[in-house]
Amino acid sequence: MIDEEIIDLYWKRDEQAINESQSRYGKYCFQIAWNILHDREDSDECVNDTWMRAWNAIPPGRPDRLGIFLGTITRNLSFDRWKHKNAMKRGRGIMEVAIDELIECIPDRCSTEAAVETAELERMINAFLNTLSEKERNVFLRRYWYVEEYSDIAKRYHLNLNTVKTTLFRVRGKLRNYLEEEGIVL
Amino acid sequence: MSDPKKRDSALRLMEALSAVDPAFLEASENRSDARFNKKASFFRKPGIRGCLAACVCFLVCGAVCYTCTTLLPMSSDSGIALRSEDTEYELASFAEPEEMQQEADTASLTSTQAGGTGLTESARETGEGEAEAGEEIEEAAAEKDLASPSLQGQADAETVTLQEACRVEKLGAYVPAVLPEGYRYESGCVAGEEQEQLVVAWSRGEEKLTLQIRTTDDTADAAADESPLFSREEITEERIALLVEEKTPEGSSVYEFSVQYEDGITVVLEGCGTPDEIWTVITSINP
Repeated sequence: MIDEEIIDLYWKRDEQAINESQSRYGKYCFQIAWNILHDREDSDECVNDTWMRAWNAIPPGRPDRLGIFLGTITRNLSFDRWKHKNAMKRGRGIMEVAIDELIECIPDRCSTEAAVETAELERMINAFLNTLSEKERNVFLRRYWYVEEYSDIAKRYHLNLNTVKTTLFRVRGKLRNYLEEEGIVL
Repeated sequence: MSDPKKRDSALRLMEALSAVDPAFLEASENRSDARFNKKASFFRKPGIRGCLAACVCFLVCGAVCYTCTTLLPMSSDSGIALRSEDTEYELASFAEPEEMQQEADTASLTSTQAGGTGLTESARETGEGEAEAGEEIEEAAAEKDLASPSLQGQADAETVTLQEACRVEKLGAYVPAVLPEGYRYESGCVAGEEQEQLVVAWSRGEEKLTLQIRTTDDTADAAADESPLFSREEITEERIALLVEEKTPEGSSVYEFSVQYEDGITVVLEGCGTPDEIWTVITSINP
């Protein structure tokens, strides 16, 4: 069943829409949740919550890309759950490492003056991604959106592991410079 | 993560990434996108791998042919081991029958020289594993009368290859491991009811080098010897230089002397070479 037909089921309030979503995007969403949480039970719950969020969002929404739409919901849910679980005790894993790496992108507060809203930050990030080459952008998103391992990214794009690391290092530097130039304070 | 403020900022950045343009995410999903890696995409083109494999095969075959045509004569002429013994015997099996004997024997000798150890030990070990090649060599050698002149006429004289000579009980251990450069095994024979006498001969063009190895009890022949006799301790390079009988047209010296070993074995050396070469032969005899 193609995306359009699944979305139609949502619009018809047909619960088969959830089964079809599970069938078509279950593994995809679970992988996103797993990369962030590294916990099977939590990941399953996030994926199940994803279908419920989608059920509530469609209609009125009609996403152009259902997979990305569902994946984004899963990511947000997983991220919230991860933050909740790590509120008192910081865990270990790739999520922790990924955030550590992104710290490099944060300009020093003393060098910037203005504060930006989350929406503005999102707009800036999209603008920044537009400045990157396709390779840089894809590698960056696989790492910081999908929270994938370096080795998985290398395998996906047939790249050397060191190439992936080098690319990410450079992109983080570019993001830092970009945010500084734009006067972004995080 | 040392700075909590920066950590919170990184988390905000991570959250903000959720609003990334779906088109970017969709593009990043393209798992088979090998455009980023030109090398990988090149080698995945249809036919490229096949062509590369064919090129590799061609190069390997060329290298093998080159080795066969160039290194084989080089090794034989120089006396330097350039191939493994197995390869040598494999090649020898394809050689002309007249050449098989010399080729195989030279291989055994030169490979042992490279190892720097006694030929006799090495030849004993390798000879057993090369029985098949040895049989072919024996057949080829049998077609030629390679018996040393000193043993011709003896009814019990038996022609031997170099490997067989090295395996002769008691006497085989006195076959030298190292020969002067350019010398190739020519012939060998063993005589006596209990193999009391072994003769092995090498040649280098017109020059000959012959060793008669025998038990000291073989008094008949020993009495006939008129060559100087030394114990192993007495023979030195300086003394060898004083034993020059005559000079060959090639400039080598001609020697004839005997060395007696403690266990009752006498080695009579007769042949051509420089004092240094002859000394090397003597020192390579390590029974």
